[in-house]
Order: sequence, then C-alpha cells, then structure tokens
Amino acid sequence: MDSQAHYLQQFANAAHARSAEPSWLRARREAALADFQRLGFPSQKLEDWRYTNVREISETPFVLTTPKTVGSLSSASREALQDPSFDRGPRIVFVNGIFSAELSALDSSPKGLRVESLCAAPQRDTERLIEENLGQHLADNLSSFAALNTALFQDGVFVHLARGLVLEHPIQILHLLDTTLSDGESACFSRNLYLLEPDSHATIVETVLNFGDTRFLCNAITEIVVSRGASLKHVVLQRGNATSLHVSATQVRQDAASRFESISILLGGKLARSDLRSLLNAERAECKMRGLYAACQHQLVDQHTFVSHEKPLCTSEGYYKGILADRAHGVFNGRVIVQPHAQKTSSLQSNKNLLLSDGAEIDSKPELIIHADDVKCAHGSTTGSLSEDSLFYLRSRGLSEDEAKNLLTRAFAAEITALLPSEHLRHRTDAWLTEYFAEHFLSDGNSNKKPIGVTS
Amino acid sequence: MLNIHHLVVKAGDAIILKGIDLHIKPGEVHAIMGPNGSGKSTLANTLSGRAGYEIVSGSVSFQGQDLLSLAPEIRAREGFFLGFQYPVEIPGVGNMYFLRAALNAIRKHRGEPEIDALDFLTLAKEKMKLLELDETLTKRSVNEGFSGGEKKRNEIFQMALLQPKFALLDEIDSGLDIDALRIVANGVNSLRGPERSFLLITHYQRLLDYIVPDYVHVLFHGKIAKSGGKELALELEEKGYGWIEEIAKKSGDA
Repeated sequence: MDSQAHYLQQFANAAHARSAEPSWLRARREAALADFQRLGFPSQKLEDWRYTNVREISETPFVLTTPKTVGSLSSASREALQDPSFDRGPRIVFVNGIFSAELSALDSSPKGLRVESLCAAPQRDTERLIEENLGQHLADNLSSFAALNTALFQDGVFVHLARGLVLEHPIQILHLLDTTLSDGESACFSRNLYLLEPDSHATIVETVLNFGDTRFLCNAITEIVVSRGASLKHVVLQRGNATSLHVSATQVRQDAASRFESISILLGGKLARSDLRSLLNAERAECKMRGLYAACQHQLVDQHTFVSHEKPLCTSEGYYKGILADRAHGVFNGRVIVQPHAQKTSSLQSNKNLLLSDGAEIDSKPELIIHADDVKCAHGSTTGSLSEDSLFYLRSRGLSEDEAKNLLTRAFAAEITALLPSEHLRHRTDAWLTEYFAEHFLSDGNSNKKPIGVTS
Repeated sequence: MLNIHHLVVKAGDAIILKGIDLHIKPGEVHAIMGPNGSGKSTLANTLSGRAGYEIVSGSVSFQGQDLLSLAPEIRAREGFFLGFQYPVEIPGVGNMYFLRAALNAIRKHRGEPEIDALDFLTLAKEKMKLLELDETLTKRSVNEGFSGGEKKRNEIFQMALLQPKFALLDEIDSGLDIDALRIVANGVNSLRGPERSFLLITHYQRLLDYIVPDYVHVLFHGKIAKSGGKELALELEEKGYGWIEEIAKKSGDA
C-alpha cells in the first residue's frame, strides 16, 4: 500500500470516532484529506524541504495511537511527571497524543482561563471560537503535513484567555510519547489552538518527551492568535530520541501592539522539523523567536522560522543557536518578509552554529525579503567549533578534555537556556543538555562521563 | 621539584628553545627574564602542555614524573599551575562553577572527597579577600568583561584556591597598574612556603621588587645565557639586555 492510501485507510478507520464531531469539523477534515491527497508528502524539490528527506515518514505505515491506561506508563514517563515545574498552575497532559484527565491538573485554573482538551471542547460553549479559528490561520503553503493533521488529529490543547486576564503561573502542557505503551510503529496527530483576547498575558510551556525505542511519529500543528495588546511567551522543550520523528508547525497571528515571544529547545530526534511562523498583522506588534537545536549521531534537526511584516512599525527578532555532533545534520532557515506598506519595520536575525565534529553539517539560510524602503533590517549566520584556547584554559585547571568540551558546549547553549522563564526550567534543561552531551557528543571512551558539578 | 634537562623545542619549523637546563627545588622562587622572542612563552607553553610545540630532545621531570608525557589536566591535578599571560574569557561558564569543578578534579585525583557548593563558596570568599576581588565575581562568567587587572588577580585567586605545588606565572605583571601589582604580589607571597615553588616569567624587574626571587635567569635566543641571584635583575634593569648578548655570543663561540 502506498503511503497516501495508508493514511486514507487510517482516516476511514477513525470514522467512528468522528461521528460524534460537529458537522463543520467533519467537513473540514474531509476537505483537508482531499488536500493531502492532492499534495502528497513534501519532496526535496520543494525549497522548504530541500535538506529534509521525509521518506522515513512517508514509507512507514504508522498506525494511529490509541488511549492507554496510566498504569501502563513506563517508569521514565512517570519520573518526568515528578518535575517540580509541573506543580504550579494548570497542567494538561497527553499520553501519545491522547488527553489524560487523570494526569492533568486543571481545577486550579483562574476565572477567564480555559485550558482543555480540544476535542472535548467543541461540544460545549467554546465550539463557536474553535469553529472560527481552527485551521483558519494556517498559511496556504504550510505543507501537506498540516492538511494531514487537520484530517487526522486525535486531540490537542485548547487555551482561551479572556480579555485582560494576566496569568501568574505558566500553563504547563506535557506530551509523553512513550512507545513502550504502543503496539508497533505508531503516530499521533496533535492539534492545538491558543486564543489570547485583548490585553491578556500568558506563558505556555510545552514539554515533549520521547521514551522507548520503537519508531514513533508525532505531528503537531498549533494555531495561536495574540489579540491587540496581548502578550504570549511560548516555551517549547522537546527531547527526542534515536527513533522519534517530529514534524511540528506553529502559526501565530499577531494583532496591534501584541507581543509574542518563542523560546524553544529542540534536543535530538531521528528527525525533528519545526516550523514557526508569525504574521504581524497590525501596527506595533513585537515578535521574538529564539531557540536552540542540537543533534548527534545521524539525527536531523530542522528549524524553520518565518515572520511576515504586514503593517508598519512592527519589530521582529530571531536568534537561533545550533549544536551538531558526530554525523548530525542541522538545518536553519529563517525568513523575514517586509511587505510594501510595512514601513518603519525593525528586524534582526542571527543564527550561530557549533560543529563538534568534522562529520557534522549545517545548512543555514537566513533570508530577508524587503518590499518597503524605510526599514531597519539585519541578518547574519556564523558557524564554528569550540575554541582551542578555552579548552586549554579549562584543562590547565584540571578538567578533563571531555568535561571541558561539555562545559563549553553548555556555555554556548546557556545564552538561550538563560531565557527560560523559571529556575526549574533552566535547571531541567541544563540537566538534559549535560546528559545529552555527555552521552552522545563526547565519546572518548576512557574518561569519566559524570557531568561535572551538577550532581554533587 | 622541577628539573628541566637540556630541553630543545620546535614551534612550527623553527627551533625556539635550544637546550634549557633549569633545576627548581621545593620552596624556591625562580625568575626568568629576557627580551621579546627569547623563548619565554614557548617555555611556559611547553611546560603547561599547550598543543603546537614539538619536543626535539631533552626532558622535564616534575616531582620525579615525566611532565611532558602528561595531559595538561593531569599536570594540573599533580599540582602544576599555569598563571596565564592572557587569561581567556569564557562566556556562559560561571567562574565559581568552573573553579569548583577544577578543585574537585584535583581533590578526586588525590583521593580526597569532593567539596560541596556551600563549603566551596566559603573558601572562595576567603581567598577573594586576599586578592581584594569583588564578590560580584562569583556571579560572573570566567574572565568575561574583566579588566586586565581583574583577570590577573583572578589567576592568582585561582592559584590560591587550587593550592598547587608548583606555579608557573607567565608575565603575571603585564598590564597591571601599581596597586594591582601590589595585590597580585601579596597574593603570590602569601602562598610562598617551604613546599611550594614558583617560576616567574617577566619582562620587567619591577615585579621582582614585590616578589623577591631566589634566583634570576636570563633567557636569550632560546638558551639561559646567565643565572644569578636577585641582584641580576637589578643589573639587567640598569644595563638592558645588550651585555647579555655579548655573553651569549662568547658562550656560543666557545
């Protein structure tokens, strides 16, 4: 069976689950499926997918995940839930893409905040909001993965902040992707919608963790509306593994004087593609996108960003750092378009990469397309290796070569991890990085792998 | 403590050190002076294990071990300390974090228990007073944004924490004003003791007013052209290096 026919079959299999859905949603799913049939999986002939081959996704007959009992969670998944940063504020947890009421903690949500399962919501009072927004903000060229997602999505997060609501604690979203629970090679399609009404403020922290060693595909599409004067800090911490495949895209629409700030940490994965796009749709919107991506062995991380300045007086900033080891391949593409009437635009974009081995590779492409004449824009990209002088300095004080490399690599990352909004998150991320670098990047067999200074 | 035996070292295609002999006993302070290009930095780099130098012949023993066969970190753990002429700025690596890691690497090597963060901070603060370093240093990245004087004081602060058996201080006086020089010298002097030796590399006699050496050696064209007591430094200050050239020529002829 070819890959398209396989997904048509998956769609047919899920018909029963859809029968309870409102008719507008069923119609959108069917239209999206037709789009997917027409488009197929993206080929490397498309500029946006030039460096990223998705054959492993298109040729694997993934089966959609099914609900699992909490009792069957692996100990690693359970451990992840113990992280203290999940204790405060509302927490919504998904296991293999499916909402877990048992693991979530949503009772404490303040008035005016809705955080819930997207698929539960259409039956209640938020249905109109979802109908008005779901799928309506996606750019036409967001690839066939978005179409496939609309056709097949199983669940996701719906967030709504009422006008003027300012959240004290972040909203925590946790995705446990645990193949020790699944029946063979499986896929989840997750769909999120975050709506911030005027002058509301929130921080949303999404943690995506892979466990287990069976091939697993996670496709996530997120649509975000940041209304006039509203502000969203969006943090994504994603830790893949040797068998994880991620294709995610986030589309933001920003209204006047809104602020959107994205901080992302993408750590590994057999293939991890992330698209982040923002449409600056009215004057004085501010957009900041910053992140770190890292990969080792034969992994591929691909970070695409796109900011479209539609109106005057908006500012955007993009800053991404990449760390590539072994024979890993990194892709960074950051595109900024300044539309003809978007005068007084200010845009700054920078990409820095650290290559830790001769076999590692980065394709970095910042793009700036300007159709207005009164703008201030800059972009740049650098790639280098660890400084020999710094390594020698650290070693001359007694640190082993591995420890010195690990420390310098984390220092390179620190500029981004320091942006994370809480001590818990910084600590968690630093621990991940330490472990990841110690295990994968520094494979000089005879030295001590214990991360320095962190555990004692 | 440290015995350099007829050391010949190449950097690139050129032979820079042309047979150095130097013997430093426990508790002694030696100073090496010499004009630019005489081989002072090559000597410091070779002893500390920096890459890019080829040992043509000769040997260096440190406490009975073959120093040149040890990795730089092992040299450090065995008690060898290099005070850098140009300390490197390392953004993102916390000064305290790095130094505790270094101290624990050394302690572990000696079979001693690791020091925890709190005890380390107490110890560090005590040593910082000695070097008159501001406590904000504990919050900063290694040498990042430090003034020239702060960087050099930070080197001696590190030495005071790590308590090496032997310290090679490479132009520790360069770029220091008179106050900073006094502080650095006090730091060094407070660490002098019967078990600890020093090798100071310097351009200027001035440093030796503050850290009084037991022996002074003049390096010239890759060889020690003359050795003497502390008064040799004064003689150099007065006469310059010209007369050393004469001596070097004569010994070359002989």
